Amino acid sequence: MTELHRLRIALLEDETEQAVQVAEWIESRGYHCDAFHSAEGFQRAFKRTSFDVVVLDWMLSGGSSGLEVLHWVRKTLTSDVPIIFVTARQAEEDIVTALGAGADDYLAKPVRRQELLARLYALARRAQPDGDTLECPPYTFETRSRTVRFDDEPIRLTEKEYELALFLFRNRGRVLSRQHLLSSVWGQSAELNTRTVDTHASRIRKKLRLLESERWKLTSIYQHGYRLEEHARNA
Amino acid sequence: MSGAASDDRDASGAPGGMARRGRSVLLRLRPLGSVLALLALVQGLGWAGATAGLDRLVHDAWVRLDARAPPADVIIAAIDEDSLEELGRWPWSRDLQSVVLRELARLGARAVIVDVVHAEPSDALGADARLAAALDSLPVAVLPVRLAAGRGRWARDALPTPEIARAADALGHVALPIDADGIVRRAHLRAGVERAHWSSLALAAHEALGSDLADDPPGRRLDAPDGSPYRHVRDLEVMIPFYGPAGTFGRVSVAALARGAVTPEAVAGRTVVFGLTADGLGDSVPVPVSALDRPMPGVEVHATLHAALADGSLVVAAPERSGLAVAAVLLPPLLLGYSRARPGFGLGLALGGALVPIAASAALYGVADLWYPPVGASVAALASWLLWSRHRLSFVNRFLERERAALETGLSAEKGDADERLAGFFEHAREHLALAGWRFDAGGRRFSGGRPVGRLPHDRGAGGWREREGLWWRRYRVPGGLEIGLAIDDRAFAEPFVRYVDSLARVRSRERPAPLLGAAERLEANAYRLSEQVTRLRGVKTFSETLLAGVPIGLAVWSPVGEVVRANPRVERLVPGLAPRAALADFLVALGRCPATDAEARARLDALLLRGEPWQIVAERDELEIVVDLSAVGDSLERRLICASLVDVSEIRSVERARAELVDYLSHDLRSPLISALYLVEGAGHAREAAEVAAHGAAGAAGTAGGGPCGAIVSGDGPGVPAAGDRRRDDDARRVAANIRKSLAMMDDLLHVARADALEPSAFVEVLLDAVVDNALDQLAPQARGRGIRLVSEDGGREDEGLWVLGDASSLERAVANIVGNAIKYSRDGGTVRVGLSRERLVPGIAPGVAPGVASSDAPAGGARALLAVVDEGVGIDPDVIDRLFVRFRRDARTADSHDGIGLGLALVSRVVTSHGGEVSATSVAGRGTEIRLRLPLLAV
Repeated sequence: MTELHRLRIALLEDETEQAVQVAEWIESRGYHCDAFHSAEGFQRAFKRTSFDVVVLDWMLSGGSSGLEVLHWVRKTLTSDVPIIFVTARQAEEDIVTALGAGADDYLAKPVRRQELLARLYALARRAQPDGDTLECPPYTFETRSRTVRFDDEPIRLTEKEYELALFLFRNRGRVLSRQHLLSSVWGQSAELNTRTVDTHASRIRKKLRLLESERWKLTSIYQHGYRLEEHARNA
Repeated sequence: MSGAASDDRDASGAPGGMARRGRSVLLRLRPLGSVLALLALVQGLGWAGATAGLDRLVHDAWVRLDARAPPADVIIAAIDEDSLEELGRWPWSRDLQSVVLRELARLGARAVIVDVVHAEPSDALGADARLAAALDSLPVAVLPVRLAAGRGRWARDALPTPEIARAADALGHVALPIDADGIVRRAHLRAGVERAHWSSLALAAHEALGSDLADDPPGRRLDAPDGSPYRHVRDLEVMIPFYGPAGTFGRVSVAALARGAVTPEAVAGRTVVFGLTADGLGDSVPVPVSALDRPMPGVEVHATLHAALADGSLVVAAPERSGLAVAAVLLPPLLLGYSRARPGFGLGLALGGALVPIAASAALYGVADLWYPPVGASVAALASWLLWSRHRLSFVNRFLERERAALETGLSAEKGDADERLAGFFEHAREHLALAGWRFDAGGRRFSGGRPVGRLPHDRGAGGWREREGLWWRRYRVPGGLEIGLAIDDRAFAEPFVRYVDSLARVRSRERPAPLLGAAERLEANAYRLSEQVTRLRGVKTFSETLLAGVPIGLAVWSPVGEVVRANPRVERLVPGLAPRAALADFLVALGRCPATDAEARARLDALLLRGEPWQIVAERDELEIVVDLSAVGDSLERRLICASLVDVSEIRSVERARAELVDYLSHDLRSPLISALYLVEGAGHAREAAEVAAHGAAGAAGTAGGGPCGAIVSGDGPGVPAAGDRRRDDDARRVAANIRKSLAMMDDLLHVARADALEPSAFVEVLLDAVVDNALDQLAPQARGRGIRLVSEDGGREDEGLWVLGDASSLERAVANIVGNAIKYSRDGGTVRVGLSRERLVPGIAPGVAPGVASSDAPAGGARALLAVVDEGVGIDPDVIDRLFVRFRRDARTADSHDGIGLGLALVSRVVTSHGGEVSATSVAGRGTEIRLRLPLLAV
């Protein structure tokens, strides 16, 4: 895997203590972090500088909300810079709204360091070349024979299950919407609905044991989609 | 009354209907039938002679009214009291009569009508010859024939002796028929034995004088009888038009004639009727113009007849059918008139109608000399009023019965056996009021309840409630009998309650009078029943008025054109500034939905008015927030009514707002400083560790460069080797962090409960339950792992089948997590928690438990449910507590000390499951573990 260049992360967070802490975590990972306390300061800087990932607090004091900033970035500047929003409210509506408005991922406060860094990494990571094999221990995907092995033991998957699993692993750490999964794995077909994605995801979760108790977990993001991620667990 | 009828429609509709029915009933009266019946009555009266007496009175009145001066050319030569005094008592000798007759001849009498019978030859020799000679000396002499009853049954004509008869120019009969009341009114111009061959004396005189009358005499032809030779036959009946009472005609006394004291002027050229006028002699008869004690001499009757024949004033009876004809002409307009006239005028009309035949009779008598007996037709006219009244009565009866029947079906909301319903009433009264016990006997059946009520004491006398030592009883005098006994200790309650019992329809309906057959009695019975129903109707009206005024919501009803039909006072209170009886449009304007300016409001109003689509308006005004539900009832425009219910939701909304604000506060404002504090505490720890890691040059640094083969984050939190003081500080920091996390978790619990309380089934989406359970298990995996507890997920062998429900995924996830979290919490370290998710197909016939608030249509048609069973091997739950397990803020007291939480977890489960139309239950064996089962209705795939 190629070395990442030094990522520039923009952090918009109005709570100073939290901003300091999060910036410290990001810097500790060797990334560059520009922390902003207000939407105006962020917007001024954003117009001048290019960032690799933006971390956006959902609730900002001073009247402006993270959603407005998100809209500003996506609609006004038509920028596709990856955006993670951070919310203290664990409300499903907020998550659905933000993901629907173009955020790439979300984190709930209190943010865990490993989680934050993993998400940043996943979003900033370049797309992986489509090689013959994809190694995600303990899984190995053989793209030629269209097989997946778990610790060298082959797992029986249907064709679509295999493709969905492969797609999820290639985009590990990222939030993938059902529509995205549907069009990428099944192609544009009017006869399928998003239930198909859910049932297939549920099956590969069982067959591949993508559970929290194992190394990889597949999380269902209600009303939106899925995220496959590797545990940032203590050894 | 149709349910949808409004007040003003009632007011205008009912009289119209009544009038329509009134006309139709008139048509149904079949006037022809009535007329025929009345004509038959007239005819029957005539045959029976029932009206003859009255008719005679009428006739006599006309005769008296027609009194007039007699003609001067007819005079009476009267054998009066003076004559008898001067010439000796009657009978006189024929010679004396001869003297008088000769004197009349000398004085120049035109004719002499002798009303003195000479049926036997005279004893005096030559007297008959001398009388005959005297008669011959007269220009015209007419002699009487008596129609006398012979010996035995044979009738015979009593002619003058032949010697005298030969001297007469004509003979005429002198019979005067006497009516049933003993009065002479009629005369027959012809009569005789076997044949009516004798003219009457008066007519015979005219014949002898050569008058034209002889050819065609007036009079009513009478049917010839069988022609028996022994019976009198009469013909040409006339009514005698008396000129006046006895003594009206000019008279010369025979005494004066005998003395030669009469001047020729008094007699010359006149017709002289010679006969007896003295009281007590001869055949005087009672006549209409004189009282019974002043009869008219027969001679004057004949003079009257003669004079009347001459001046043509004889009255002839009208044909018998004329009575029918008059009635036939009179009755139809009368019958029609009754229905047109106001009821009060009907009787006047009848009386007027009764006078018509009488007036006609008077006119005929006076003008056409016709006698028409009017009483029969008058009676028919009066009878027509009775007939009409009877018809109207029976119409009213039918109307009442019909209306009553209609009301009966409309009012009798209560169905079923009256006794059972009465028993039900008392049972309810026992449960809700201070009725200790009751019993009643009705129609041989006995019902009772509550404290036993013994035998009812015997009482005599009038009905009504009696009381003795807390026992109240009454015997109703109703068909089948009804005895009620009540045990009531509180007198203040008993009195109104027994009045209540009396007023019950269930009791009152028994008091109906026995059916009677007569129209009037039926009317009474119907009126009674109707009044009873009107009382009930009034009760219903009072009920609806009370309901309308008392309900805690605003209610208004408009007609389809927007006129207000009914509105309760709360409407005005909820919509300030709304004029009383405001039209629908004004009402909408007051709510800020003016249909004239607001296109959407216009469209919704049209949809409401024309298609009956309901419309909900939420209106906010100052502090007030109201929800207005407009709906249309009635299937067509003319029956449609627009109903509005206004509910004040200000308080509910303010509570909702307060909760939303609290949730916001909890989820951000309260959490934010805690999160900051957490970052500070943890950040300090990380910084130190990082420094230590850097200092020790540990292998962990490699991880910070980022990325294993798959981008795995190698932890930077690896255990360092801190100094003893630092370790102490670290422990403190960890405890602080743990406490902060616990606080945050408790806030999360509160937030989730608040969220579960606000769940709206209308916002539910399709949710794959497998994904929810997996997420929940993933969430709890670290906790389980930390205590060495195995979390085993079982899918019940469903393989590929996913379980879909309609719901709110994150709430469901939280509910599942709470159940599993509870199981982990109460498990021993190293235990196992099994989580099974399977499909449960219901046995047909057992309805799935659908919670209130969730329409049953949301439940899947198949009735299949998802079953989530969470089984632990923990301490179990106390059986006393298990029923109340899912109540907020409750935890099993035994375990409360050893585990954390504020008891919200299972309450949230219950709330979420209930709002999803599912159910949750728990079974537990102490020391062995607990199984919690959660069932949710599956979405039909």
